[in-house]
Amino acid sequence: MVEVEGLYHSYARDGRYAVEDVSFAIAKGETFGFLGPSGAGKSTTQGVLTGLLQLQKGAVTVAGHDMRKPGRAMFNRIGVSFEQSNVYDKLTALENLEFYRKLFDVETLDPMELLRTVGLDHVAKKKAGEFSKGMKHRLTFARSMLNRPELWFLDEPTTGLDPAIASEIKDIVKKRKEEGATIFLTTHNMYIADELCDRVAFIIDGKIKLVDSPRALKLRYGEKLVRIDARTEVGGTRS
Amino acid sequence: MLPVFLAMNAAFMGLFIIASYIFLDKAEGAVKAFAVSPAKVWHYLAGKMGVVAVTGLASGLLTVALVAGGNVDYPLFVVLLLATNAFGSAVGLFIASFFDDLSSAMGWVFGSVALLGLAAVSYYMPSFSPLAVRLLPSYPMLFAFRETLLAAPDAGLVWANVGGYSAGTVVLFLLAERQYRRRMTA
Repeated sequence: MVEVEGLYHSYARDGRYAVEDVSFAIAKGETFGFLGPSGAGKSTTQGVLTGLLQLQKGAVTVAGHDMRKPGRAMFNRIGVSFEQSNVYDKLTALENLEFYRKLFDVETLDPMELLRTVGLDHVAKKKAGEFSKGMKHRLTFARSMLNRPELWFLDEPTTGLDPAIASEIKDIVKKRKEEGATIFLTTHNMYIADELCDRVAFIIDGKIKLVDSPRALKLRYGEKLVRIDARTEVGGTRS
Repeated sequence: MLPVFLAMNAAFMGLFIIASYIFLDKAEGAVKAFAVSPAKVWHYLAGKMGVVAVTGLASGLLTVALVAGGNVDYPLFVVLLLATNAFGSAVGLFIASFFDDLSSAMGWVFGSVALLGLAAVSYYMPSFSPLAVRLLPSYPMLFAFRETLLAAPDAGLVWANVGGYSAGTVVLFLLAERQYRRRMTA
């Protein structure tokens, strides 16, 4: 579904690369975690994969489309949920989804149903400008599902959300995965990656250092820890 | 004379406003969401121009109607206003395409307005009409708008202006679109 070979990207012409010789492939139906600290090159890589940044050097294919010249058709097949919510503040939640829905050439999901899925149906007619940060984030997340994307890019999908909402978001991601969607998950949270991803890649200083399954990585690098809780009963009293 | 300047104001409305619209969308991040949809950049830019055209047409018609009443060839006036308004928006789009935020673009936008305004000075003081001023796109615009306010307008002159501004709009729009494709989400 995604093939990246020797990707380089620079923001300046000083020869310094934000990402350097990045290569990986994501199979159809796989959930691929892209981990790394801030400034490591996660967003740059995702930017190139989603067409937000022009491909400068390397070969990148997304959903069968060469990213040197991604066609309109590619955007009908992908969905992108941004870390920073970016919805129209002056439009209501429902209007936001209705507006973006019209941009797709494929059948889309019912906006009201999507709002229900992310728990925003009760504020569907409220302007997004009046929403809390978490609510805007959920609206951005819902928008990314409008076209039922085959390839779903999620950038820090649970950051800034309270645990209950974060859990609901994770459940939605798991459900889409079960339905066959391929997911590219950018995060710095190891626990989220462990819970959701089939494989993870670690990117540091623009270079991929490691790609493997969370389980294999835990076995290889995790601490072997056995925790024993002891309980004794003395004279009928537990201690 | 007043209706001519009011019409000019409506024509160049987009020069200011369109840059603000785009930079606001950029700041809100809405441009990014648009960029990852199947819609094309020119759809987005044309949409913004459409909004400015409606606003310009409404304000131009209202102000000119209030000042000049029935002494206007309205069909000709509307066509010219739409063509010049689109041209003003295209100039605004083109200038804004080189900048990342409103504050950095404002100097160029104001500079362009001041430059184009020189034509009005020349119109008011015919003795001041150096070639450089006569070559400004705002110069023939003033005379074209004046024609629409005359009892027997020279329709040929107005249509020639409409054609010229439309061609200029297409060229500037294409250049701006190319630039936005590269920089819109940078």
